[in-house]
Amino acid sequence: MKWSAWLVAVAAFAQVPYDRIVNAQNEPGNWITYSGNYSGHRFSPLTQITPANVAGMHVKWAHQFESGRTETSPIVVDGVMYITAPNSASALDARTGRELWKWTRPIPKDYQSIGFGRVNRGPAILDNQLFVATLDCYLVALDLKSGAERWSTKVEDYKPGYSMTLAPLAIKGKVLIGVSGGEAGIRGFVDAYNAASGKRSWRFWTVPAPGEPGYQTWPQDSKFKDAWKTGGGSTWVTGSYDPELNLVYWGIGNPGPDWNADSRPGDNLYTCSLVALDGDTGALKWHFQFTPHDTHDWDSTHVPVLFEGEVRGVKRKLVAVANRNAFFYVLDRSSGEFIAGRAYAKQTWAKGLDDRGRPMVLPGTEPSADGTIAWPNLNGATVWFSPSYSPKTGLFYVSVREIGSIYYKREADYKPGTFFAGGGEAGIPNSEKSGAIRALEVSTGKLRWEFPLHSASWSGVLSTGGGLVFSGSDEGNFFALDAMTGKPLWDFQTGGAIASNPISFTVDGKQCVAIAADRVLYVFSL
Amino acid sequence: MVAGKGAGYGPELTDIGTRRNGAHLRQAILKPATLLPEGFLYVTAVTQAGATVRGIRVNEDSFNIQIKDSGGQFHSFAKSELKEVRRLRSETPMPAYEGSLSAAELDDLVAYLASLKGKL
Repeated sequence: MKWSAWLVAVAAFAQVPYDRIVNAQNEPGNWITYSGNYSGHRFSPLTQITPANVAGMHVKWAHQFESGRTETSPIVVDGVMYITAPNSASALDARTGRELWKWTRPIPKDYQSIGFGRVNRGPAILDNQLFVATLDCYLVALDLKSGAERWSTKVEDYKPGYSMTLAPLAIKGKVLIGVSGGEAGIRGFVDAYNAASGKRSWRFWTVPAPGEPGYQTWPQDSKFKDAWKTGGGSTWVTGSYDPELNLVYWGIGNPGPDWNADSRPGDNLYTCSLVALDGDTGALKWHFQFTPHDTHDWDSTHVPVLFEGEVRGVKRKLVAVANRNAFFYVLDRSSGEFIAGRAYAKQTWAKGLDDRGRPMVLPGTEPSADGTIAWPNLNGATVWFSPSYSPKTGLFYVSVREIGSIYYKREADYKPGTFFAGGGEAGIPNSEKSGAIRALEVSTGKLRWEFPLHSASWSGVLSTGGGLVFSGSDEGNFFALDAMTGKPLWDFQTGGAIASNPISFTVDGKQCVAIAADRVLYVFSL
Repeated sequence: MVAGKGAGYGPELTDIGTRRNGAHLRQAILKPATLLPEGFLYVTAVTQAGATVRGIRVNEDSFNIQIKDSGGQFHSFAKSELKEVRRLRSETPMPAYEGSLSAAELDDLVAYLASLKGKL
């Protein structure tokens, strides 16, 4: 073969084509997209590590990051692990943890994170490129083999408060991202970019402009007519995708200003909602709003969990969400129809959900000048870290935070690039705070078991085909529970608070489990 | 402990005079259970075999607990090995000196503690 023909052949060969991601369940030794599959399951079909042998799990290798509170969820493909940190990405040898390449992008000196930490939750992979979202709001494509920058596209200007901390979602020919900045008076969106060129394919604004559907849920009078421009609706957690329906499911953040809603009467669509978007065009197929007119900063930015279930004897495509507002929801993912819902954690703000899933809000639960006590606190009953769904057990596993708060309402004056929240919260003196891993029946949200935690955790959950549930704690424990009963089977003290999502993959045929704890990424195996 | 001398498992006293006023110190001596210091939870751990260890909780997570007893000895337990962990939220290992110190003795002790401002 001539050199030129060989080069063409190499260029035409895509290491991770879209079909590999669609069929991720066929290669359980890899972890090929943020949640392990497009359905948001964070479930590994691997079966080597079981309740019977997990006690023998030990550290295989560790990798140290330059800074702490690492929230990355690695991608593992063909023996290489790809990880991120703020404005950086690395490829590691999955067998030893040794670095193969590293890419960094300087963080501008005038960059500021308004209302969140300087973190990054992971990369996405498609064809021969790795995609990284940066704090200063660039989407960057890197060569898988070398880390060389193939393109970078400015998503938005970071100076008014836009930023990106999430792992992108790569679908057919496109890379999707969302933005942080809900406490800075941004107007949120979900974007899709051409994976080959970096050119923007579509944008879905999460707060409609005048004349667009949904705008009627924002104030129309002259005094507050511009509220939509600073209406929030950030999109900072990676969505899920149904290739058959070609629908992207993305959670939308809180309205702004957070705790003072005087300037935004109405439901404030599409904040605190789940939206289903056409993968090709970004057109809105349906929406479901969990918390209309939110006043507690309860973003609905969660990984939506797609599953198939029977409703009144008919098999349907469903989506489950354990929401920050303390309610668990099941929706039809073709239409957005509300199927079931119930509280899965302590909440004091709603009497319950009506037959369409809308919360029946109790009076006197909004923030006030003197402070209003409510559960959950602003971080919610759960937040960005991932839940897990095991098709083997039919259970939805979620790390739950049981903390109440005193919510305060303050003045809110919008100035670009500053905190625009209209209040805040304070802890309730002498109030119990706790956490738990809860296993819920996915079709109903009914509690099957719980494992109490010493404190509320910031760790996501992984379930496995071997019958285990892995998660972490704020005190640094990485642990395994029996997926059927919640019985603790193994734990390891990592030495740092865990605020990340676990994954599982294989190296040389052996199952491994990885978790980041503060500034160290650990890989375990038997 | 004051400047590295003494024993026990209560708060460090070397600079207590910079952190607590005389009224607080007086009440802590007379009625210590009314002013439990944060981070010094008194606990009792009961092992499966029935042995009891009582002391200050030094650290705890979802799986393990570390306790320091009155002799300064550390004990580390996996919670799965324990029958029970009792959290004695309204108790303190420090005795109440109400009625056992004269007024002059109490004044002297408070004055001494209030004078502790750091390294001696």
